[in-house]
Amino acid sequence: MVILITGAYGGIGRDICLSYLKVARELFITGRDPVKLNQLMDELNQFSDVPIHAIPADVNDDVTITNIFQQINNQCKRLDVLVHCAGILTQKSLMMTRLADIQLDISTNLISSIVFCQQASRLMSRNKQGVITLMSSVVANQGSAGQSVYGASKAGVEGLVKSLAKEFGPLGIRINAIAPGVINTELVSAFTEQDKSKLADKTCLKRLGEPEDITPIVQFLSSMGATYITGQVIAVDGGLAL
Amino acid sequence: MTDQIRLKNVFSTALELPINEVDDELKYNADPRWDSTAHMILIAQLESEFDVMLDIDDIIDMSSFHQAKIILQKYNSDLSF
Repeated sequence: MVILITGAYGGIGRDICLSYLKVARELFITGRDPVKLNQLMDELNQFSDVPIHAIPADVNDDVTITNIFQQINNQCKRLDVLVHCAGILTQKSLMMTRLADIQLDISTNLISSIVFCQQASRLMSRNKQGVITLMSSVVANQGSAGQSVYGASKAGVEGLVKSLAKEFGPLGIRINAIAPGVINTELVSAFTEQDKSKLADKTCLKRLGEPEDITPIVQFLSSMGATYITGQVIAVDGGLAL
Repeated sequence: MTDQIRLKNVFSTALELPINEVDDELKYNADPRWDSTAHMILIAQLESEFDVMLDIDDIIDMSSFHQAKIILQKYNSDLSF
């Protein structure tokens, strides 16, 4: 399989990269910071002989995005799996959020998802097969004070998944989203230990999630076991949404 | 095989049309078989056959068989239709 993972060196992205080493024929990884991306590539190369292509990219730059897909086309002529992990979380009350921050959140979380789907579907439709997995959040449906723009962007991702499942289905492309709960990654590093403890108490399982809780679901969605699953948003939140 | 025949074959396969119905009069949405889904299949097969990656604007502008020839020649001036 030819696999593209964005936001690759983030907590969830890194774990997903590691898991896909077992099934990838070629692995393309992207992220904004070339140093962190190269560190990840070096780490991945220690575990596998799979060719890994690290492409530094800002998901808000459409020219860069086009270049990613041109590289994939030039080297592989196909794409089987896209996992779009890139995202940001701005933790601010709406009153304290500047327009530029609003636009950045919407662009990074939602518009980039749309553009990556647009580009990926072109390569995938050549072989009438492909699997796209996007990242939503439990906030899309549950809401969270201080995360209104983030929640809006993730709700947009869920709407995108449902419409594209209908649009891409005839082309043999499946698309789903994961809605993680509170996962121990950089995105929640600003939370105090007390906040984390309170959030853990709100889950049925009484703990925060780990990237390893997300990865098996992402991999399952692109496996033969999931060939009849599309248009779904799968909560991986320890029961936080209940 | 000439480029013209290659192009006609792609249109015929992607839009599931007899090859003799592929001509300059063929237009997007004018023929019920060239709908938005068929257009995506057509683009994928054109990109594969002619080894190009089309800009989104060109995908949107590719509204006829005639237009497809003009657009593809932008990417490869050696093509002859």
